Amino acid sequence: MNRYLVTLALLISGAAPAAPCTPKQCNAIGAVVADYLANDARRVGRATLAGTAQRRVDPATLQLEEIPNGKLQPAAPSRTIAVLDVDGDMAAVAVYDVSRVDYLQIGMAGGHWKVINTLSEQFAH
Amino acid sequence: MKPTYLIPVAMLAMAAGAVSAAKCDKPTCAALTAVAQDYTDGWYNGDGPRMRRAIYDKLVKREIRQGGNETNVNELSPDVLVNYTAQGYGKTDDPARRRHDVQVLDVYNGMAMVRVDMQDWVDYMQMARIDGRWQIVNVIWSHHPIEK
Repeated sequence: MNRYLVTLALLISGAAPAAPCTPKQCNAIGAVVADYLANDARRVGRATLAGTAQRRVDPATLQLEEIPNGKLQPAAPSRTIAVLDVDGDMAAVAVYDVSRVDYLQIGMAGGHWKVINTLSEQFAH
Repeated sequence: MKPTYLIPVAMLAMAAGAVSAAKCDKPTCAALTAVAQDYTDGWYNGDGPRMRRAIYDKLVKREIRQGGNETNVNELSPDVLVNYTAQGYGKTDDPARRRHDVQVLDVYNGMAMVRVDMQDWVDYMQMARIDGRWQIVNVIWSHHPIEK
């Protein structure tokens, strides 16, 4: 379904002045993002590097916190993935979930797209 | 198409359509641009303290290289970045060599995604507002392709 959504996004954003990625790129990026946000350690491992930086802004303390590997909460199935920009082997992606926003920096490493750095914030209540 | 697909798709359309629009209010955009400018001007002026001001003290800056190995993503520490800056690795007074195009890609409350086109490379920056001050916390970057 996630790939389906990204594909639909491409169709919809086709009317925009400039699509951020080719259909092939968008599908590959959407797939790695779906792996990263899955409730499945194997898929998360496939999507990340050993040292992927995962950080979150705490809106209460106004501090930055490190999220230990394996401690990221899986995103809701109804999340929305937006490829904000792509340049060569790099991409900037936002994921809008029901409870938080994730910003992902994605890059090509070893011939595969990988999540390199992330920054998240929960919705304020 | 199942009706349940419609809401996320509509949200996605909104997100995709907004990418090229202004993503932040004027004060926020100005604050984010000022931080990016500390980074770019710091680099081109050889001004280490100005670079230091722009970045989080635990900045993660990683280079994406063509043919890069996934176990060896090149990382630059904040101290090394500031030292390179202060040593004048990027220093130039030539306006034609000081490209610094800043584009705010997205903002949500205390975090932002920003693209900066420098003379020789592109940075994707994640900025966070920590104790009320925007700082660059995560960066991936890559050199411009060599023109043949």
